[in-house]
Amino acid sequence: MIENHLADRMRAALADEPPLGFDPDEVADRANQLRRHRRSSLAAVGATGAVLTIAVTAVVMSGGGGGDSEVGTQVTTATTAPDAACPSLPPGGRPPLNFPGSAPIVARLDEAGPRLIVKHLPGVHVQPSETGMIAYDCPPNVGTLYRVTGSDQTVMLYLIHARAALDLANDRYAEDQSYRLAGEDTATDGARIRTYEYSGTEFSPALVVVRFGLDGMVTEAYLSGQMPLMAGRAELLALASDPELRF
Amino acid sequence: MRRSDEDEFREFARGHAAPLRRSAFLLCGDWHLADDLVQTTLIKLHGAWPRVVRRHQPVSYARKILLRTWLDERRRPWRRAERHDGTVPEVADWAAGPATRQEEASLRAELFGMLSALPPRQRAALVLRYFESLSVSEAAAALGCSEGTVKSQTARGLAAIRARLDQAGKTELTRELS
Repeated sequence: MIENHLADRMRAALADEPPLGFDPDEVADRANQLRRHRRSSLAAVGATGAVLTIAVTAVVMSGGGGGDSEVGTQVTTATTAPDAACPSLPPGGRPPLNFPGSAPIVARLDEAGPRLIVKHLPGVHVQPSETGMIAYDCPPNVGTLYRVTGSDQTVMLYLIHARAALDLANDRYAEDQSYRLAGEDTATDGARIRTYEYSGTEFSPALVVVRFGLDGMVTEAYLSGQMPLMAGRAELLALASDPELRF
Repeated sequence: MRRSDEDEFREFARGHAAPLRRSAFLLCGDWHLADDLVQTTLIKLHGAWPRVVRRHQPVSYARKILLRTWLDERRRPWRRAERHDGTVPEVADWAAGPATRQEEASLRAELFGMLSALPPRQRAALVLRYFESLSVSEAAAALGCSEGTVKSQTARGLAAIRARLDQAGKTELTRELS
């Protein structure tokens, strides 16, 4: 029977099992540290938000405000982005976790992610991310995946900020044969928008909108699952263009 | 987390890290990535531990997290930089002769060749059913799908493997005859 054959092969494949590459107690220690760190980061973001709210209110009241549409951007956007070249990864290597100043960004985006999905994708409610936002360096990027409540669909938010100018080079789909470019245009603010459809067989169908801002911010809104998808290009574009999704 | 819960979690982690990693290895074909997947799984499990342990189902919950972590991992942007060959022995088996080692490596390469050709959920269904010996309903719970889906994923996965083995057998026979 092929089932028995397969089970035998699986057991045989484990014959040269190496020792565990980690200490379970250290993992438990790290889990405790992460929990404490997340709590303190959220508290820090709350405090920062309060201070900035007061500062912005003071500017507006003194007549220095130029309208409220840019407040969110002013509060959250880094003024410059690193333009440094990243060394190429060794085979099997991963980029380093976190980047300088990533903790408050992660905490802020953790809070904003589900709220902005609900705001821009009508009828789509997501569960809290199981991992939370994960930040990697080189290039600095932050992202996570949310499961849509009551559906097999998932929403992924992914942000890269590697340069301080339009960064079309950080298009992760351009050379991936599994993704078909379904459209490309320019937003009123000059940002370039690319829409991709996943046409591979490994994953579920997907629609991705990638926004390349003139400030170098690359923002992806990725919706995946069995068809029909619960949102279209316009909704994903609105999500990717939200001024809160940046760092 | 209460001290007693923390102690219980640590005991669980010590006892189940290795079995979880074996399943992870069969899913991803790379011991290093399997280590990463299990660490991520344990960290996520830690966050839910008081709730999970009260329901007396930490093993099935851990398995579910592991599967989701692996499926999610495959979507992540840095995935393409990793290798998933599973063919390089991590520990030299000096007791076995070169021929035995070669044969083991060849069989392992064949297994991962077959598994990696399957869509991830079919592969997961096969690992759950035939390595972990889970029932259809237990596999459905771990995969978060219906029992019918597990049955169809398993049947398709087995059919694909059978076809590949048949093809390999024909090739081998042709080589011997020539």
